[in-house]
Amino acid sequence: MNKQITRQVVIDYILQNKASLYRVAYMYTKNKEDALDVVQDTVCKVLSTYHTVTEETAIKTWIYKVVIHTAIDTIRKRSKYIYTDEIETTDNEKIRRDRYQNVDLHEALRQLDDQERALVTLRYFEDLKIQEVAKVLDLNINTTKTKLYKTLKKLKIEME
Amino acid sequence: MVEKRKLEEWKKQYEQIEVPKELDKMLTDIITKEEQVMVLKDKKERKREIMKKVMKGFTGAAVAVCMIVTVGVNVSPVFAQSIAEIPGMEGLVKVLTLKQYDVEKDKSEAHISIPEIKGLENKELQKTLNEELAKEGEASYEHFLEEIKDYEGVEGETARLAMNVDYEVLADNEDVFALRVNQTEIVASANVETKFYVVDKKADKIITLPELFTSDGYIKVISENIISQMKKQMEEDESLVYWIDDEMGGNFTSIAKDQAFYINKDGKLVISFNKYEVGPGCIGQREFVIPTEVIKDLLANKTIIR
Repeated sequence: MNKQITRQVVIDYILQNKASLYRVAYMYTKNKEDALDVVQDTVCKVLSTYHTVTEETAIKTWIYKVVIHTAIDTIRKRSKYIYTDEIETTDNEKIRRDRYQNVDLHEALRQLDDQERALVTLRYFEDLKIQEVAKVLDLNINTTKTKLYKTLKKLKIEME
Repeated sequence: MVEKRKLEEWKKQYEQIEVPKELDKMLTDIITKEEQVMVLKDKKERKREIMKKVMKGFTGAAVAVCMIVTVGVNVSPVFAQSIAEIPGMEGLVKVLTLKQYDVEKDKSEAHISIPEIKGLENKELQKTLNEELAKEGEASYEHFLEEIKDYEGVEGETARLAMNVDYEVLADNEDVFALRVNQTEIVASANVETKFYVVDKKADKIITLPELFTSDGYIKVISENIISQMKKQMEEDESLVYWIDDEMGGNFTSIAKDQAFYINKDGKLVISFNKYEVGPGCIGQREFVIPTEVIKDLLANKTIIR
């Protein structure tokens, strides 16, 4: 018998995993302001659509899916800004940018595309099981394993 | 293995990505706000409540002006009617920044651009528009100064208010001049108030939505078109939600008679909805371009809208 998804269950999950949501977003946006925006949008969407999720066990992968989808959308919309270490301003916005604290990590992952980035982040940093990663990315398990393997190879080659 | 060690190293760095303190407050804010939205059964009531919260802090006078302008009609009917009409004109219309307020205090900041229109051949019209724009801009500035008093002496990252007023010329040709003024206020999350000023250059007047059509039939026709666009958008993006099929009721079924609108540079009618009008806050403001074939039989003037 599946426990009914209540709003409270969703809220509890969000609050318990807020750091993960933020960090996953940050892996895409690479700055604090946008990462916060992504989390905000994600939570808002999640609270509006949780009734589409049918079982409690699916909440986790579903929320990860939304945050990644939202993060990718956000960086695409803001691609008019070039993310360098310098601070850029427009006429009516002051964006506070923090320097990368983790140059090694971001440098190494810079060459990955959106999906590869998700693969590595979910599997190795968020410790999701392969089946969960597959669900988040809407891939079957074998494809997930193959792509993950290829991504690791890509990273290793770069490191040499 | 080199590979494995690298991964562990990166994982450590990942876990060290600092989670900002603002995150907690931001989450509680959204959760409470969405909760308040859910609790109100009647969607219209929802909207009114939220507009009230957004408007809190405005002085009485500013609220009056804002409400008149934002509730559908682009400018108040009284205002629109008092514009003198002088026949036809062309000319290059320029919108310049008359005044720019850039304020920074502690962690709060405001950037308010007050536009000024130059080059409308009808000087009366121009003067009246500019007076209204200046009044609005100054009111935003005053409002910011008032609000910022609440933040004096408050410690911590979360004590910040940001206000942004900017403008954008949406269309400027022989027939139409359309200006958009956005006021964005950020307290934890962003609220945007947008006002549109649409001028019929040939008739020398500010246009209101009903005036564009020969009968009230436009309301149904436009609403139906928008609903079908909404359905299509939701199909294409599963994270997008419009209130058209909500079991809770209070769904969007029709635009207001004087719904906010403008005419874009391609001569198309665009209907604009504020945040919370047709969906949850996270979808933000929404606009819909109405294909001209849908409304062409109802148009009063066939040159303004192409």
